[in-house]
Amino acid sequence: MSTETLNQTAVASPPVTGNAYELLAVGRTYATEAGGIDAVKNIDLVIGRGEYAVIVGPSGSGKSTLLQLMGMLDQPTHGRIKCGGSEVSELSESELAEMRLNKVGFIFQQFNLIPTLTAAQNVEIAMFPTELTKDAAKQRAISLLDQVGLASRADHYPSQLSGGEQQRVAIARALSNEPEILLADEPTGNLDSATSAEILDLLRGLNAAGLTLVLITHDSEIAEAAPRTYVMRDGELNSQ
Amino acid sequence: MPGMINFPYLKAELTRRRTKTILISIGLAVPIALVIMIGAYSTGLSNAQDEVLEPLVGLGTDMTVAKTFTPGQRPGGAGMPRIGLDSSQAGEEFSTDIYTTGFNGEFSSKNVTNVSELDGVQSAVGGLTVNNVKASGTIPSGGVQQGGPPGAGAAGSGQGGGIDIDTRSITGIDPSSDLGPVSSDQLQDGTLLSAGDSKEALLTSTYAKSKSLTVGETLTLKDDKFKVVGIVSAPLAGSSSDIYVKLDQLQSLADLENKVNKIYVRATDQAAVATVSKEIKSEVSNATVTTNASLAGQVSGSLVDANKLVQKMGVFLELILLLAAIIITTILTLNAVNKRTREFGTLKSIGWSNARLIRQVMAESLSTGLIGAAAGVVIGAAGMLAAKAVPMTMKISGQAASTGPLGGAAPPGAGNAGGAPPGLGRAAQTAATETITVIPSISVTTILIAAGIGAATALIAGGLGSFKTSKLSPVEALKHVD
Repeated sequence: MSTETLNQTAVASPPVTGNAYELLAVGRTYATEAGGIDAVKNIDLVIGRGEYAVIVGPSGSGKSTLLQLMGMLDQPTHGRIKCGGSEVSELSESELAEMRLNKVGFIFQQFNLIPTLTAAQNVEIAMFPTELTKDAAKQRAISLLDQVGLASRADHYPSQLSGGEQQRVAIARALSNEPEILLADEPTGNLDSATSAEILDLLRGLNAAGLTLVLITHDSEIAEAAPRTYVMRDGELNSQ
Repeated sequence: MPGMINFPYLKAELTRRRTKTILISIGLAVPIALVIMIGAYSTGLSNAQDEVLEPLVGLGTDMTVAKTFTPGQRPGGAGMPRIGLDSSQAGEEFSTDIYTTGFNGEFSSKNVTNVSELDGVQSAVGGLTVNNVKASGTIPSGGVQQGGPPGAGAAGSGQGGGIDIDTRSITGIDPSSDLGPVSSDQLQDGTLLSAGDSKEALLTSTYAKSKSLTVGETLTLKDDKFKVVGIVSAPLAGSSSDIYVKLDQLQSLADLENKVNKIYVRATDQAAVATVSKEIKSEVSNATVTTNASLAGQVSGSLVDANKLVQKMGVFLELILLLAAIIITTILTLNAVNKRTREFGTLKSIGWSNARLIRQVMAESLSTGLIGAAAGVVIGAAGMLAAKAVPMTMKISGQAASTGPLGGAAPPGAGNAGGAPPGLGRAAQTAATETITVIPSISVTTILIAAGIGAATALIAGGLGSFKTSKLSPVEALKHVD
């Protein structure tokens, strides 16, 4: 059982106004032939708007499962999740897609860029379901790539970019629809230490600009540097 | 409003995953090319057969009326002359020239007029077919008692007991009408009969050859000289005679003034044929009506066999190929979708809805299908060009019944020792064979069908791929190792 309580707000540099997430007794059990496995156990967690929270834990502790629940990619077996005031379990499939489109931005350890698209197209494709015109989306993609220092590499394909560059493209893609929340799953897991530092600086800068940042890592240094850190172990979350 | 399909993404998938696009396209193109070739050969065979049968079938409105009796049925035994040469006359020279209609019942000219006035009849003309037996020589010691119709059917000649016998079938036709047993398509040399009073004859090529007669030479019937004006081939089906002369001249030769034994009828249109046929049967007793279209069914040969085979097997083969195309394309498409599982999971995680993802996958599949269909048409067309470079020839054969008194004919030279007329009572057919070059032909319909198959196959494969994609849990998809 988590020791966190509802309405607890994090101490972060940007001013906190309301909650980005409210999790109440959230659990996720996977059925296997050997029986049910509780990947996430009765977690209560509140993350305020603009907060920078790091969830640290060993592999298999359930931190990625928790992030997927927060990113509305999966539904909890029990408990409730509120994202920006919306009760996630009450949303339809298309409403969930809408939430993922507008509320959150995902950053993956493997970057998950589409190999057949250029850097700019990878960013543009996230804006495709929106009302933005093709030209406006293109312009915004270039602008975002410029912000992450990759304007000159806009026409390069992922295979022509380094790991750090690919992650920057992924960050630009995550920012394309101006989300309120960034969910980063081991964003530096595939990068060398120098590049990791650059990416972390970039993410911290985004948080400083007001974005809620939830970052998952097994790197204790990153956790120690974060204003709020949670430790995940055997599906349970504890504040550090 | 957000776009329905992301075209840069679509284009990128088709061009950047070229191997996949080419593989799926080939999987579709090959069966489509084969379907096109089957369709083209089917069309080519049908065209070739139609071309050959066109003179036979005409407009599908022609029919022939006859009145045929079997031996013993014919009232009074008329037209069944006997060659009776008594043994007491043995050693004497004799010569006889007989014209008989045998078992072909006769119509009066009035019958022809009545038929021509029936509703649904455009025109009707009479025709007369007789068998001519010429026998000459010395009467043998045992005499000759030949009962029944002598020398039926196709031309024959023989010698037995010092008697020379020559038999031939002759048909009188109306040269002013294009209705009748001879059409310009059969003309091999010379011209058809003119409309005037001049004594002219057309010879069937086999008869002309057996008698070594050519255009411009003279043929004698009784004591009249007829100028050979044309050589014609036997039709693939229907009736054939050795000699064709003008109707009135034959009626005079055979002492059958105003008599005919065939009425050639043309209905106003195909729909009227059945009604006209029925009316004729009630107008003329014992009449049998044969439509020319039904004669087309009597032709045979490799062309007909191939056409029948293609018509029967073509659809089956096309279905097999279509099924193969669907299976190949679906397997390749599902494999391609499977390889992109994490990509689709990523798209879902960044806000793409299921419907949007399905549309995108379907658009990709449809595009690949159309590329495959286009490639199939090109390959099929190339196959056609190659096939045209090596033309395929086929034979079409028919058995034209000789129009002798028995409705049959004897092989030439089938005389017998007893001096009996040759070929007595033996059915005969005049074989006609044509060699046709089959030219495969691609129609717009074939191309549209090919494109339709490509699109339909791609939609089925894309539909299954999309269904799989839509069922993907984003979490599971993101875990997928590419």
